[in-house]
Amino acid sequence: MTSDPSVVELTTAFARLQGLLLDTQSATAAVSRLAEVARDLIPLAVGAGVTLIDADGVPASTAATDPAVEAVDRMQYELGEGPCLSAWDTVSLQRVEDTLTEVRWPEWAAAAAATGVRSVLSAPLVHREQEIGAVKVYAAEPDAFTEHEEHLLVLLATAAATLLGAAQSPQSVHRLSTELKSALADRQQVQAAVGILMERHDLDADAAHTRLLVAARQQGVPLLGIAARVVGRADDPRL
Amino acid sequence: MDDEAIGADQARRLRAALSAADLELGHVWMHYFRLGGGVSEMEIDAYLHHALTLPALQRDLLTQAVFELADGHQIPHLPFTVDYHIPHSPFRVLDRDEHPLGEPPADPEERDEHDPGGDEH
Repeated sequence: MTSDPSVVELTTAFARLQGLLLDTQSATAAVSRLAEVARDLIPLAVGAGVTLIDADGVPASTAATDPAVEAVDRMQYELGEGPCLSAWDTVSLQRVEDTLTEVRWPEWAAAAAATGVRSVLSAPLVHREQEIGAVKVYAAEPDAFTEHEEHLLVLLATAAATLLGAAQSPQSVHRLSTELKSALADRQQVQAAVGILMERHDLDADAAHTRLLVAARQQGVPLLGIAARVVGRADDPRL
Repeated sequence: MDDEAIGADQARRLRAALSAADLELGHVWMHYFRLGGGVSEMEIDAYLHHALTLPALQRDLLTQAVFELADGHQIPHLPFTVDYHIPHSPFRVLDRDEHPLGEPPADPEERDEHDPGGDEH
């Protein structure tokens, strides 16, 4: 996957996203971290925000990386118009190229422009065909975002929705974080085994990973079992 | 068979396996992530529906994740990418008749016709 820079960026962001759910005890804290991940994923963004909505479509928890973003967000709900509301209505990414010339949401666009926001991307968070919110990034320049940023934001939104979907109550956050903790531990075990095989056989990461897969299939053992064997017994003659 | 055709055939088999074993994609994705998978659930979904191509390793990790989760269900043969390049690959032949993870099915009704369970009758 190293050949596609957007996947590398996403994988990094995604690793942080996993971390955020391990560390946070509430959905509010989780969306706050998600907003930071979104802003850092898209370097042109000066700010980012995340809103989770409840089953009735009412914003339940919101977070933004700075007060200006929060104000621009809040105006949407006060005015009843804006890219995030449209992102929910249409279940599709919304792009504002320039708030000074935006005609779809004139009142909101004028208010946003007055705070210094010129371009916006807003992607819906959809989990199991249910909309659970939106993630948006803002830039001070017009036409700041291209298809590349759209692609990144949609990938982030999808991954985040998968993880946040079950995280709307403290109990489910706890359950999810327990599962994620064990998933991350398993993943680290596999990566450790890949590293050992890379060194042992002078392979690149993909080839070493594939070697583990083939060994698992040949020996009729789950991949995690093979990985544990490699990590625990460094001289397994079959690998 | 070029890599795109191989990926498409793997995707078709994986879709059939998900359906046969009644596996939910989010569950599959989490297991794929455990095994070291590196793309999002949405990309997996797009790949399964031929809207996106994935590198061989990602396809094979997904294949292994489904294979492991479908333990106990009758599913189509799920080859790795390398199996398409080595038609007589020993584990491909082995794999065709073996049960996932090498364990016998818990439920006799789930045994397929290749299962040598005849002396019970």
